[in-house]
Amino acid sequence: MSTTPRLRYEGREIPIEEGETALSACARAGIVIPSSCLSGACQSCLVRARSGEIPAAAQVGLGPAKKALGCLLACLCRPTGALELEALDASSEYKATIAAVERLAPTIVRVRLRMDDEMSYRPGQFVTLLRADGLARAYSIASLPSEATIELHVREVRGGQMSGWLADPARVGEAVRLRGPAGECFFTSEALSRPLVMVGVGTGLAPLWGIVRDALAQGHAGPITLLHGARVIEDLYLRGPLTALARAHPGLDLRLCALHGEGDAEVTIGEIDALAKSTVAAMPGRASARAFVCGDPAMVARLKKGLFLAGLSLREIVGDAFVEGPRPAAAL
Amino acid sequence: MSTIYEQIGGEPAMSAAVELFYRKVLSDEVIARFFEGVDMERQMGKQKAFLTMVTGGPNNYTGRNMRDAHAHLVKTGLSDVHFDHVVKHLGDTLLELGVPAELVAQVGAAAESMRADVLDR
Repeated sequence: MSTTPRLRYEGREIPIEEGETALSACARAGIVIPSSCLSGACQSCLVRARSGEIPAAAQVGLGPAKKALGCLLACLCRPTGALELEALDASSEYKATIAAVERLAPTIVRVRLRMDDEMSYRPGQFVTLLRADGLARAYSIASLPSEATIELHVREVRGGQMSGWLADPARVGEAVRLRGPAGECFFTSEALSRPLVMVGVGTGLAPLWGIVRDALAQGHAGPITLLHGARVIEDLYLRGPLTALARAHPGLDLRLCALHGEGDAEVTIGEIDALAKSTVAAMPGRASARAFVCGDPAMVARLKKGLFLAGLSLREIVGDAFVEGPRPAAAL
Repeated sequence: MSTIYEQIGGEPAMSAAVELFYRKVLSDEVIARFFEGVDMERQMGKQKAFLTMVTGGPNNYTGRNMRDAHAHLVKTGLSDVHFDHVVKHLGDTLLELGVPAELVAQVGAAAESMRADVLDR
């Protein structure tokens, strides 16, 4: 049985013939999707499906995160029914309102946003938050889509324009816009029994707080090791909820680590990459584990290397490096 | 006659081999400093291309690339000692993956043929 292919790109109807690729049909319609190898190797023609059935052949060689986001290769995509595509840089903007500002640690606040526009996202992706005057900063999403608000963790940077503004409880009720969501740092459910390793430094806990609860909600059955590191013990925020989560899930192993401090039996004092490396080196099944590492770029690079040397596959280490201060607008 | 690349399992085997090989290289204190600060994903892509090449798989090797790619390292002291270590890790990796010794020796010889390019001589 054959169905007639129908194609839309960025909302425009594109005439397509049976057996023709989306790339070729778009080209005939005057839409240039960047491409090079025409065989699925270079991935220059990566686009995303808004709706419709994605032919399996169009996702060969893509990682689980890209597949989950509906990404596909236009040069291998021969639609068999109705398919609507969009460019990857088509980033949408959503209206939101600051619903709550709550201090979690001396320099960290939790900001909850009520979405005025509906936004679908994966816990652990990031959004760019725009203030009315255009000031923009990127934050990871710590909440689950089932929750009523979007949760962000904001570290107050000395002299930080956005963080200082957001940390003020008087902001409740202010309107902001979100751009995105973007990024591939999120849980995918293709292997529910493998070990998961999550390492977050500072507010690098934000994506992990979303990812770990998402994994448990999706029925992840393998062991999960979550390490949170901070400069000082007082900055290890969300300790209560993390401890409660670990108590409720025996498969979740929580490790806390601070660079400085003393007198806290639950906190390892030292470098978190050393702790991460020794923890993983002693972990059964580590060769099949997936890891998420979140923090500043230098720390993410060190953690990636440490976990790789401890026996994880580099392909299975998802890094989310963030910088405080301005960063380019959200892009996938 | 099939290449060593084909005999040990082609592309999937290369992916496994490159992780093993790169882990050995980064764990070796004698040569680790040459890999400080490099992008690990990109570097591993290059390691895979190298392994594919020395096992006779599909590749676009040119000696000039190899020479240019290592010239800045030669300036900071890259020498025969380091080259020997990398070749040894390559051989150990293949032996660990069960490649017969005579094939490993062939790969070693292919790697050896690049010594002058890598060391810019």
